[in-house]
Amino acid sequence: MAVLCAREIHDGERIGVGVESPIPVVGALLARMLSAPGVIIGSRGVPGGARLVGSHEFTQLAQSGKIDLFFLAAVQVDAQANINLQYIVEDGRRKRFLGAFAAPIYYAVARRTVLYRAEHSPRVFVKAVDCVTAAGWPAPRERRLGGPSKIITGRAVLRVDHERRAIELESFHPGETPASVQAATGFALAIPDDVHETPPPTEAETRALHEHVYPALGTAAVPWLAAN
Amino acid sequence: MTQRPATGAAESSDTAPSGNRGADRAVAGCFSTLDEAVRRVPDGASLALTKFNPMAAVCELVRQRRTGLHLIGVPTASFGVDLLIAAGCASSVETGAFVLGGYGAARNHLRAADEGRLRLIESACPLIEMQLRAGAAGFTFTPVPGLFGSDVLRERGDLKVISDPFDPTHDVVIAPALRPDVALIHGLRADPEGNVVATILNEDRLAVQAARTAIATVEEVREDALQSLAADEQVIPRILLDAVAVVPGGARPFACPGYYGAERDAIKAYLAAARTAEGMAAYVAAIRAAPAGG
Repeated sequence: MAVLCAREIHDGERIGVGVESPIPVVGALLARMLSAPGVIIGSRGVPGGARLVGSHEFTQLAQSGKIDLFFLAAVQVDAQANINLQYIVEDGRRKRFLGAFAAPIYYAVARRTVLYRAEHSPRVFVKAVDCVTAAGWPAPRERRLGGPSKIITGRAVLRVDHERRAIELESFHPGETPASVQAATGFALAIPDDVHETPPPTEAETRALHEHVYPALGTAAVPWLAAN
Repeated sequence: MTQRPATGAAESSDTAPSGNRGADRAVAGCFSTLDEAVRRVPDGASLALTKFNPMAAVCELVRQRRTGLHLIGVPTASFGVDLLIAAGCASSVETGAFVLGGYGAARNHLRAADEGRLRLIESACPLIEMQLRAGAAGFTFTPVPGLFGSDVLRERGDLKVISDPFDPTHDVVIAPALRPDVALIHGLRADPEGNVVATILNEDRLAVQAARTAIATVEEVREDALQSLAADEQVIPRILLDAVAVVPGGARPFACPGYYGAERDAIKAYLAAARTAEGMAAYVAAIRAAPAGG
């Protein structure tokens, strides 16, 4: 999945990665090594990340339209590209997660948001989220600078179509089929004619990960790295 | 997280912590004791805390049995907020997310909310940052991007939607400015005039700027504190602060850049205690049983 995140990054872009998950961090470092050496990572938590002042300065950067790509994870994603980071309703009660983080704002100002989630199942990809942390489509008089573009999962890469307001299957990973991905999704996916198998990690990508990216991350202060 | 109590540097050099070059030359009245500094957080105050947890000050609040605090996690709520909630010091909390570094999540705020002891105000990190920025600038409100269609907007009674006065084709969400009664930060060092050197890795400056009363604890006082700032350091001048207390180990058991690393066992012990109400109650009792701060 980190490889797939890396493939979404264009050279020279300014990107943001939350440091709560290693997947986009690894992806960003991989992109910088291979296809996007000019990428600027707007997070101090990443080796070589931009030395911004706190998170507030990154927020301003994003709000002023200067963040080209932001990686975001969600508890639930629905057919309207709404995302939920806050709570699900279980047995009539709210089961709370960590919180909205920056989602309701960054979803509207980052030029592209790439959602990522290893688990691709009907409980993640639901017809309608229990709580709308950030809405997929802009409100009629809302000014947005960008929106969700791709959803990277452990089974597939999905593409968000803003014109048709639909989510379509771009590629299914080796071992999956369009049918198996659809079966794991709680809403109807559009299946375009050019749907294809996700190209697996190349030799160059794999080598860069093991020889450069993982060693660069090492077991630095961030505890999840030690756990991974 | 029992803290070694520290006396303020303004007291006689007999009691000043060793190694504080310049402590004996601190400008009179410039420094408070930890006890005095923390007494400036009254019951019912809104209190802003950042991710650089001022744990000694937090433990002192716990010992002083502060109640009714409205905690603002800037922009997320970390261990300091978590402990105050567990100790029953907070009646409400407002934050973008509850994040205990990379250590996972604790359940103290969830338990407290489920039991009706804590009001959770749903916010978002950039929303808190923009609200504080407006507060620091003396405004009463701020525009905020996004939020349309979000349940955060729907569930908050204090966020409003207006037509953008400079762009009438668009609406924009506005939020009230946030001026916390108190901001409590842990800086690294201070000079004898009480200018504080802090890290720039979190929102300490923003919290200090927005708060009505800003309190900083520091590891030490040094004559040369402001010289040779490291790349990740900033000066928070005394004019922005209302009280500065010298508290060596003030961030323990968490790391303090340039001073000490994280005490993983102590952190694990906290997380283990946080798994149950009983465990956390014992943890809090131990803090209260420890000797009071100077």
